[in-house]
Amino acid sequence: MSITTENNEKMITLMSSDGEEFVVEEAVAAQSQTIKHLIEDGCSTEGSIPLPNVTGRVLSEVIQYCKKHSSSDDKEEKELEAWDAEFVKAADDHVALTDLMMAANFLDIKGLLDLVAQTLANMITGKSPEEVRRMWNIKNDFTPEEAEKVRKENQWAFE
Amino acid sequence: KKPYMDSTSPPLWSNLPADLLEKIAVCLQNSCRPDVLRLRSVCRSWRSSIPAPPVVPNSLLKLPTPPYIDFYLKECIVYSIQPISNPHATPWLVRLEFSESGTEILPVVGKKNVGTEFSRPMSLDLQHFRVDVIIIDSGMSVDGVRVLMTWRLGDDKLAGIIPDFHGITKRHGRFSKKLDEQKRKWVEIGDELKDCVLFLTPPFSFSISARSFPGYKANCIYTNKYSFINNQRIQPLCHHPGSGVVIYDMENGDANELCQRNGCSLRFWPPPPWLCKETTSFSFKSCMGWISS
Repeated sequence: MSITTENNEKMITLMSSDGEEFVVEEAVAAQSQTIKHLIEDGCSTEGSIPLPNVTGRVLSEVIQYCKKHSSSDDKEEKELEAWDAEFVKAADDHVALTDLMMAANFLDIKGLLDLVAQTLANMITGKSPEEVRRMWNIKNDFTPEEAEKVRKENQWAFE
Repeated sequence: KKPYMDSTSPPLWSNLPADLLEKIAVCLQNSCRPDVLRLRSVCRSWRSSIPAPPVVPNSLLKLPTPPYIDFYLKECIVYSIQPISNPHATPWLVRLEFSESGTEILPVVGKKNVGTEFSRPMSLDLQHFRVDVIIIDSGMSVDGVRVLMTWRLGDDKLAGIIPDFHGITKRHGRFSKKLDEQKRKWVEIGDELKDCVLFLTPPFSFSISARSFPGYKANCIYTNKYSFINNQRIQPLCHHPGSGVVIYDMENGDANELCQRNGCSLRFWPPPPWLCKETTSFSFKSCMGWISS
């Protein structure tokens, strides 16, 4: 459904996978290329846009990001960078960031995707494979032959 | 079809879509090859979705040059090595320098001539050691010049030769610019300088954070004693690798030579005992000889 506010801003409704509805300005939602295309294709005229891949918790974070970034085009780049840093800090654990990254990927929001990818990369920097496995609950599934290959690749030489 | 996100179930990171993993790897790749290698060592799906990082190329970057001096950015790699079993150990810093005659492994600061004392190749198993790249490609080289000078962006000439370290802080207060690697421009530095450990080791300079590198002194410059003249407190040069390291404390203006033993500044050379002990393929017999003699 589309509603119009007093200052003539078109509003649209997004629905998360768990049925939560979010009413946002079109300009905010259009930060997501995926949603922008859905709007252009006329998917927003009949009720809300369903986003089956994104939970309400994650979607509310994504909207926060989009609001900030749609309203601060001409603001200082520095201020926005600081805001971004706070934003990923608030999402702090790697599990939440992973969800956020998948959502940014599905919704096609390049800025958010880059931001989260860099944050996760920073978390991984300097960690041993074992630490990374423990952090993300990943099973070491290499066969002995593959493990040997891995060992060779990690045999890091000053040559 | 992309997997559903459901925050109630534990994340399956090994199922993270390949393109997303690759994206994270690219972020790492900008700074650190060993980190990408480690990421490839986590599990099968990660290994197949993250491409092997390219070998770091050896290239020279031209800097806008003042007219009368040959100034350029040269590639060097500084590695930090720490045993994973002991995260409190002071990381050992070592640098690789590239020249036409090949790659040299050198103490990060201090006398360079490593010579035949050091047997190569040396190799490390990254499952036991945390190897981080501290810096790539931002050494500023000034051919033939061995004393400290300052050059401000926008000036058409060097600000002048500084007779000793006191000159730097008195004349300019503090270092106020750094090179932003991503944007390729000089940017202002603020408070993070208080935590900064600066290495001026011609032709390279770089900085680390004292908080992340236990054992290194904050707000200090580690440099070679030949970087400055007119300092009576500095003893004559000796020829052991890694010797002649001076710490200049920006807080109180003190410059002191790093503690030595048998002519070596043990902080930087030879490699620390834990490195020699834990690695069979790591041969430092003559270095160990120095320590025990």
